[in-house]
Amino acid sequence: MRSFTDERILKMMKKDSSAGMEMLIDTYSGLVSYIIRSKASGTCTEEDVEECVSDVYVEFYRQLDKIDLKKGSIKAYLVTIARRRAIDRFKGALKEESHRRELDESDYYAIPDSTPGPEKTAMTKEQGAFLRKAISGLGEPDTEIIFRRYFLEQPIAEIADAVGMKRPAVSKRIERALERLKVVMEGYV
Amino acid sequence: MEQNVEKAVKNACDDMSLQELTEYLETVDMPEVSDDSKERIKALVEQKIGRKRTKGVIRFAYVAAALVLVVSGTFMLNTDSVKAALAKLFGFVPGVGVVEVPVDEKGEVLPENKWYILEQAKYNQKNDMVEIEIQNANLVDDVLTVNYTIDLLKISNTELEQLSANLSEESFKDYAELYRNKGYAAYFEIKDSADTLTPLSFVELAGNDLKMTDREVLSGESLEGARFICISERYRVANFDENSMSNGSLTVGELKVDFAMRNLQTYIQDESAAQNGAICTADGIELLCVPMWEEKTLYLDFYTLESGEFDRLIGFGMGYWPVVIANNQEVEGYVDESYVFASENTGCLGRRVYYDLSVVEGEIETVEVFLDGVMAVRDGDSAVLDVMNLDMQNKEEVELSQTASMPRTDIVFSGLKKYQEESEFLYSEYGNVAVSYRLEDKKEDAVFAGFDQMYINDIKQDIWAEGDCEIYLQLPCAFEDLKKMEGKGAQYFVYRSFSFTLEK
Repeated sequence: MRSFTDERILKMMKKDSSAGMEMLIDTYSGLVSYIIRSKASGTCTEEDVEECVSDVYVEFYRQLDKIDLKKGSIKAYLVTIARRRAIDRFKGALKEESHRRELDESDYYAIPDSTPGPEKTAMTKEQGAFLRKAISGLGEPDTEIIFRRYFLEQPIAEIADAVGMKRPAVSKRIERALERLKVVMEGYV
Repeated sequence: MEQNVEKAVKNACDDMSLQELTEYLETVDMPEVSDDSKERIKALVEQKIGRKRTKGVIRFAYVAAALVLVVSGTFMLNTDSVKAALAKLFGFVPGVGVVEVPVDEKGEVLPENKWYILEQAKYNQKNDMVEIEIQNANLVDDVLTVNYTIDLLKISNTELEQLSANLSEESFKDYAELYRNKGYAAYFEIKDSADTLTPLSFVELAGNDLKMTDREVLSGESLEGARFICISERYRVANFDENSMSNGSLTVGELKVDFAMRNLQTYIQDESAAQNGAICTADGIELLCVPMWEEKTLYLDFYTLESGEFDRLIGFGMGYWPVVIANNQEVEGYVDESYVFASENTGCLGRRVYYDLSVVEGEIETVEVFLDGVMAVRDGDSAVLDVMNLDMQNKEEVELSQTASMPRTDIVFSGLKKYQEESEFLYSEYGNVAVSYRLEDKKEDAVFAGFDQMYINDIKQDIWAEGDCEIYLQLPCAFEDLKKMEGKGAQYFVYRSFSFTLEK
């Protein structure tokens, strides 16, 4: 795999956008494709995924002047664009899929909860920031596991591979982390 | 507080700032996608940002790649003649060929009505022996250039490899025998003393048989594994009649390929062109944009009228393709086989960029054309790397810190590295050298993009390549005998906003 530093990619994109774009695609296509695929939740073909991935790069290219590496890495920018693009592109299909998934929550590791209504899960920005701080405070590997599970939406098996643990151990850690976060959230109020 | 923690965590993650995401993503890597998938994504991106790769260009790039094999492989052409031919071939513009039309003092842009190109992208014919494909052809004044390829369908690379395994002067006869046995004497002049096949070709244009003045033949391997030959031929058109330069044919042996040519209808003077186009000046750089309206297609030609502080403009710069807005809608730009890049000694910046107007809703009365910058050269900007006093004996890599100052940027040379890549384009008995550098820009409005010419020990180098802050050159001497390297004619991508309003 060819990979390049963010500074080098940006510099090249400004100097020779074609070569810079090649470097960008070579370095980040795995991640971007993964995000698109996970967001589309199996509702699209490989062709759709590639089409959407290319949209992500085109949007990045068009916003090149706004990219500030002090604010975030290229990875972070691409992931942000990819999530938004995927949601926009697969909106219709996702709606149906989300309805189906609501009926089948078995692949989510949910803590039993009696009041899951959306009006009650809506968070203020402060609450969100507080919770993110709490996630960071879980310590490794729990922080990474939670991030992978709830942001990247990776299946347990993949997380287990990534962090070098057995699947049951990962499940257990998620369960405990969520319990700790629940306590933290209750303490916030 | 009762909370669905899981959903709250998910929502919190969704709202992460770039800074937070950067930290979380630092250790995250995902499985690579396949090379094929990457290539498809790259092609899609190029298409969307306006640099459509046409089939012809890809094919031509492949032809060039195939020819590169000749340089380092086991083919029998002498190295110097191959290099010379390659340099010439690389100068071809797909669809047009070499473009060298001088600008005269009156400011003429291109000669009127004397440029002809193929009517369609390619013409090809095939029988069970050969496939002939005319890659491009152009007629400028009385010289017709035809570039074409021949696939020898009955000769496989396996057969050639077997012969080349024991290569000697005598084995040329074996090649010749192979070709004759397969029946290629009807298509080529086959010599016992060389591997080169000379096509038995002739060209007719507008009813006249033309006289060939020049021919280059290069061999390579096709993707299908067959023997593959690339030919460039020039013919003199004795009876040039502007009105009849339309139909012609190329015949090789028993196979004939008909083709048709069309007039490029170029404009002769700035004044007459400007009546149809628009001029835009930005910071001393003046460009002329000339439209050619067809029913559903808009063709745009761009010419340099003034190049400001730069000596010449050499193109749009990759990724900064002219953008067309019609009825508030952005229209994608393409190039076809007849696309002409900027060429030295001409006012041409880029010709035959076309836009598909069929996608635009409503009647079009005007279009806006935007260009964010151009590539330009300052001939006087040069950078010298003096390595005379460095101890290079028995070394393959030398660290440097030598600054060459140019008006727009300082180049800090940081290293020299010798390397050997026999299978690559840069092949030299002495090996190759990579020069690394970094830039300290003095002006933000232009980005250094490379040099126009490279010299080693005051000898001009014909072949070199540029990477990201690296220049790769063939060594014309031993690494330890390097004394001086020089880049002349700095190229810059110049950020300027040009906009043109064109009325239909």
